[in-house]
Amino acid sequence: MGEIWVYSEEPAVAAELLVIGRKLAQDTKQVRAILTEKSAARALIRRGADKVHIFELSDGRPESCAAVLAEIIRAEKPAAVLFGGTLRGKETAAKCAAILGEGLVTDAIDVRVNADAIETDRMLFGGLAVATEVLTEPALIGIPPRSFSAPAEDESRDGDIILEEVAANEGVIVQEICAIARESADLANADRIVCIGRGVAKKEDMEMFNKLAEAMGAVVGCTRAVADSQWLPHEAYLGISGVRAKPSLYISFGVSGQVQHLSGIRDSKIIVAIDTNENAPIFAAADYGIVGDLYEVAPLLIAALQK
Amino acid sequence: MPNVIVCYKWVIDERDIYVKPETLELDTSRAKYKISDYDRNAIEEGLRIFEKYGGSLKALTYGTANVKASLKDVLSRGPEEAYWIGDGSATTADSYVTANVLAAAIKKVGDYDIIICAEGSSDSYSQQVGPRLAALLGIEAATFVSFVDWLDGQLIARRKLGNFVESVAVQCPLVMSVLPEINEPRIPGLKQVLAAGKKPANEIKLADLGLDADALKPKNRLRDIKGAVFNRKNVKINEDFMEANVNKLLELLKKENVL
Repeated sequence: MGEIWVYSEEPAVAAELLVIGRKLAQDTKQVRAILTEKSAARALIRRGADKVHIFELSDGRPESCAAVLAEIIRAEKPAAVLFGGTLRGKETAAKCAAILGEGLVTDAIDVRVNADAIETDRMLFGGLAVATEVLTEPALIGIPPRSFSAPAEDESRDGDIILEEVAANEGVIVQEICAIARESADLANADRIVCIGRGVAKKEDMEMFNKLAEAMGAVVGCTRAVADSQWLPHEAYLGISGVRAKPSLYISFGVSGQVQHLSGIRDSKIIVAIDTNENAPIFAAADYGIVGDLYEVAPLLIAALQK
Repeated sequence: MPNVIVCYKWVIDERDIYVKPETLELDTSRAKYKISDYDRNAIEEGLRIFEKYGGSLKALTYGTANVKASLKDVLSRGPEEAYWIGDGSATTADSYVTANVLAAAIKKVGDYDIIICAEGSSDSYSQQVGPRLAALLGIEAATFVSFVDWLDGQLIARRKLGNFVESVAVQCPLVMSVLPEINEPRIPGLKQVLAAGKKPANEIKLADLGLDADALKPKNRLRDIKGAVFNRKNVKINEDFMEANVNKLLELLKKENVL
């Protein structure tokens, strides 16, 4: 019977995928984790992998393993391969699928077994609609990072580790790798987010929202339009092509609520919207809303929180 | 001088889609089409390379018969000529089919150094076609590019990959997928729109691409498309004055245990 495989160049993401991997395995199939870092192998076994397959990258670029991964999928015929949907993971998955001549689901929001076939849900039209697809084996599925919490480690678990060398890709020369300097804390992992949209009139008003964020213990995010006008860096915009966050509290000021933006906040626990336009779509996507002038509401909130 | 082919998709404008509240069915009967938002950045980047280094700039698209309506629009944005495949198979095409068709068409158009795609399309946003093309054509890929320059047969690209930036030199020919932040697309003026009508638009027949039936059959079976539901409380706080609204909100958030 075909195995369930999880792949990510980020061991923490691979560990998250074990949750869905074990679910699909239904106690009858083996789960294999495929990683590009040897040091994480044992931890992945303790978290639920029956076997770990390590690609030792000669050039340090995970994208270079696509052809080798495709080759072992062809040879060993897993029932499903779950790809960690980091950007590098997306490139690897798409190349792998093309080499195999197979389909691939990007950013699945649900994966389940229905009448012996694997079924997935994913967003279409920027988050306006959900498409349900029925897959054939090997089912290749990309899953966004942080969709699940990694299973706890179980010291009693044991499993084999396979090492495989991956040749360097001579066509690409890495000149430099540098970390992106963040002006604020990490939005993707923030527990509370203050989000600003086009309703904010000028850049100087940012100060007020920084103050509010500080009083709430929140991180400031924004819509694509605000990032495009360069009030905040591109790393700060929430949306389908930006950051997809999962805070416990998201509170927006002057955000109309375009569907692309909503896709980036849909996993928030509580959504609060403040906007002058009572027909703004953000209110339909919010738990609590105040129709009002953000220049009136924000100072009142700051004052109340500072009390 | 680089020969550039930009791929683009003619998509339904999602703002015109109406979700029927009772059935969650999508009503696209009144929807207009547009060049996918992200593809406008891809076309603009192609134009910038063309303006700076010369060579050639071609646009390529695969869609249903109505894709013909996109030609004037795309040509007004800079490409010297366009190639299009208009075929009913595009209605159900997934990234597998789309990449098969575009790769075959690119081979037919021939003579390319740089293929530019957006990172994804504004309808399905599968983010697959760029890297799939690289694999199918057997050439390099530079994905998620936020800055690019061309230097003697090499592309110097900055890839933005979440927490870090990877700067790479990649041998041409290659496929590059660009991020929306790479540029601000120009809006075509009257002069560009008028000139677009005189530029050549070449039809490629799907039958002439030599693809077998399997290459045109989507791999995953689409069972259902439904409007997304936001299950939220939708409570509008409406007290007598604003300060009371704010206090009520804080009270509710404390009750929810999120503050």
